[in-house]
Amino acid sequence: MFKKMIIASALSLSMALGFAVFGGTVAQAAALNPADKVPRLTVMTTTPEYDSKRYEAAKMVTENWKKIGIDVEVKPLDFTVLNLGSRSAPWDFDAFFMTMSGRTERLDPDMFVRSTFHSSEATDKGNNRVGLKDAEFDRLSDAQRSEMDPAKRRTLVLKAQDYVGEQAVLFTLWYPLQWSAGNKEKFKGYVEIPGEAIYNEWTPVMVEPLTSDKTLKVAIQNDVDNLNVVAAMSTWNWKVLRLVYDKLVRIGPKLQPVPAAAEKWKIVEPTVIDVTLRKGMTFHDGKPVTVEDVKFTFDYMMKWKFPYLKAFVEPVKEVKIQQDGRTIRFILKQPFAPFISNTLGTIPILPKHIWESAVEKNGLKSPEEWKDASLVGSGPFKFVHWKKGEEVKLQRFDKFYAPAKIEALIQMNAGNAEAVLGSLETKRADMSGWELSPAHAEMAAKIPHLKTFKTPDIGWPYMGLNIRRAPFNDKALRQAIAHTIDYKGMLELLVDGQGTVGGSGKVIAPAVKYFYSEKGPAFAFSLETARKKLAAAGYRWDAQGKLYYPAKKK
Amino acid sequence: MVRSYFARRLGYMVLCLFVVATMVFFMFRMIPGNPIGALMDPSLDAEAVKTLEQRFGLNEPLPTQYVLYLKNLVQGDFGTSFFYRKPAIEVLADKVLNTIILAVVALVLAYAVGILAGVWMAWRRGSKGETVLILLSLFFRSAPVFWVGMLLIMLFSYKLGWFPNGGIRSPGYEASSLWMKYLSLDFLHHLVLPALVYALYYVSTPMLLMRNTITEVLNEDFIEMARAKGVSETGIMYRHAARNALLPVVTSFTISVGLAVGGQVLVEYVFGWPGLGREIVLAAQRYDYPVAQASFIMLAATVMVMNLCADILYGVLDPRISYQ
Repeated sequence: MFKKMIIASALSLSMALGFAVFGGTVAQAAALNPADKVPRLTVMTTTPEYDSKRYEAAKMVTENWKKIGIDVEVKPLDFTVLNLGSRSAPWDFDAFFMTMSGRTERLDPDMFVRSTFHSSEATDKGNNRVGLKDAEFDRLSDAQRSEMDPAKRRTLVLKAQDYVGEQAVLFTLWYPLQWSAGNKEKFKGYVEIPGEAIYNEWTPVMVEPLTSDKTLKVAIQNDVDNLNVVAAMSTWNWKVLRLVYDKLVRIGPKLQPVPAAAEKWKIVEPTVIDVTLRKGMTFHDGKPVTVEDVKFTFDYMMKWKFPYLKAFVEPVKEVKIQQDGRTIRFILKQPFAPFISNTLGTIPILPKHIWESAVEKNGLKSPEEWKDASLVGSGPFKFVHWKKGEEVKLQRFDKFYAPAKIEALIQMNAGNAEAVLGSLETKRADMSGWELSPAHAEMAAKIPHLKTFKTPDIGWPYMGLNIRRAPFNDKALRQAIAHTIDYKGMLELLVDGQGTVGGSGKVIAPAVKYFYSEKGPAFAFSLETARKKLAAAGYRWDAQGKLYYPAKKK
Repeated sequence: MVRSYFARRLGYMVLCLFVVATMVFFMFRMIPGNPIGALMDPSLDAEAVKTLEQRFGLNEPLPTQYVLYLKNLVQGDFGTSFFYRKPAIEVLADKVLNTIILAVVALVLAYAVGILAGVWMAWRRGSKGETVLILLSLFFRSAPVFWVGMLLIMLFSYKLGWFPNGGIRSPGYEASSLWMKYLSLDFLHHLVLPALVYALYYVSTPMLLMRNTITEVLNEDFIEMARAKGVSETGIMYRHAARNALLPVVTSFTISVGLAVGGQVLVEYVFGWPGLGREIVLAAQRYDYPVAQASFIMLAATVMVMNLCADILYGVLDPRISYQ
């Protein structure tokens, strides 16, 4: 009898405890309407073959969702389907896992804090994949873009990140490191830049040969695909093109814009920028580089709207040549903070005498179609040859104002990752042009003639939520979900702890110190907190622990 | 008679090519994935993405695309590569010579060695030498090509340093002419390992085929007749027996050459050989429809032509065969 009483009281006690934990769900069980059940969610990620880390990350996050009562279907998709599908109507998914790559122009925060979340890009095929439409965010995002004062802009960028972090729509999972290696017996002075490791636009001009072999051979896993400067899109083309073509400004090793073809620039007014051209520059064919060429370049790009370059010249209203014949005046439609670093730092200066007549001479519909396009530029290297599938060779341009120390550069296609490492080992190549996998980096570190580098990336893998439809149209649910992401666990498990943890809305990587939001909104990993927040927002659970919407809300 | 035979064969080939062209067109579009997603980058805004779709003609309905595709095909236009932005046929032309040279060298090597060894094996049936050869050839036939390739690279490149670890020419090598591109010592030096791996893989086919057919031929009367005439054993072996056993080997050789135009993806991958095989795989991965279509049509056409060649060769090798 006594024994039975103990058992009974123990039972009721545990039931009471259960009630406390689940917020009295069982008592409500009878009242739960099946229509209120949070539906099974669709989560898109890559196939494990394409990117095992991202695939695993999706599994890890959604395992925790199951634990708080949300049914999930993880769909591993072909990369192209994921890439286009996540930004196309009808957005038939609830969450997706993607990676933002760290291109140089993304050292400027504009893309990460603007088109990724701005309402103007929340359209079909737009880059605002999460579908945020928020007037306050748009205001912050627009303001940072038109703020020409760096310190004030910084405040706005930080605010924009924290604001979007608070909305809990996009979560950076971790900030990776990139490994690379270079032959230290043959060359010294490799320059490291976040996002591009050692194969950036500075290493080729800065690196010093230590032996009589003055040709720097860079091994990558791909071939270039298109060296027509107005049609080129992929990274590999640009790695070559920016050495052949000069730009007015380059982003320096300290991540600040430094004068290149421009001797100096002056912000006359927020919408008026004067750029003075360096004296005595020539193109590779011997013709001088003049303000006419610069004006022509911008007018040409504004006229033809080349898909990749269009965004950079869009803010420009007019380009005028000043009376001194050396200064170009850029008049902008409205103030545009990334103008110096991104627009001037990306647009290649085209020789007017070649491109002006390119369309007529070759009978083209657009300059993009010019398949054997001229490669005459005014950059530090002259184009020598492109052997399809094998290599691109560039020769030092001696008349460049800051000539390189190496004589030539070869970007060679090793074909695969093992061959990149093998080429470094057998001294067929001098440096890696792309990141080495951790396993290969370890092997490279043991090869005596190699020096290995570990450089922070500025890109990141992330999870975005589709907030256009239920259930993630509910901010309270998103903020609860934000606690289910185990950033530390992912960093440890998926990248061996090599890198930094991410966070909600933290779209600027720590490598870009100036704009990195160190604190950000704190959504510490805790399923307990997630459950509490859900309960507080009125979410309910049934006897099986499945999540239900708050009463009278869908 | 012969003329109408070839006319008929040609007619079949055109029909077959049309079917292949139609199949590849729809098959590539049925695979989940799309060319825009392969090219698109977050820095492109909605307008830029739509511009790309228009440039590639992907905004048109599928039947319209198909009709345009067939129309162009009849005129010999395979379309413009989405990825390289130049005619698909040029993309393939850049790589086709690399592939053919590797394939021909490897196949000639494999068939020359394979045929001779096969005859020898039939003669020495049951000997230890035959067992060893069978085992070896089967080993290389069943071992993954990339694994054999990696082993050879490890041994001959990393350990001994005799051959380069990959590639087709030394970085920065400048050929004085097209001939030198493929005849220079530098090229041959790079050719040895991939050609060897390729040949090792293929050698078992002619070897075992030859051995088996000769075994059958050996019981024929004309062999005995030759012996009776006092022809030397080697003479019987290679002139009488081998020639009669050659037909199936010829078929397999021509088909191998036909397929070889498609490249040996794994050999090309392991040795970083810029050949067609990898290009075709990449085209499929990038959803570069024009290049993928052109390569499959080309592949089909080569196999058909090589089949025809085999049939013609039959007539040459065996006068009893006539065309009707």
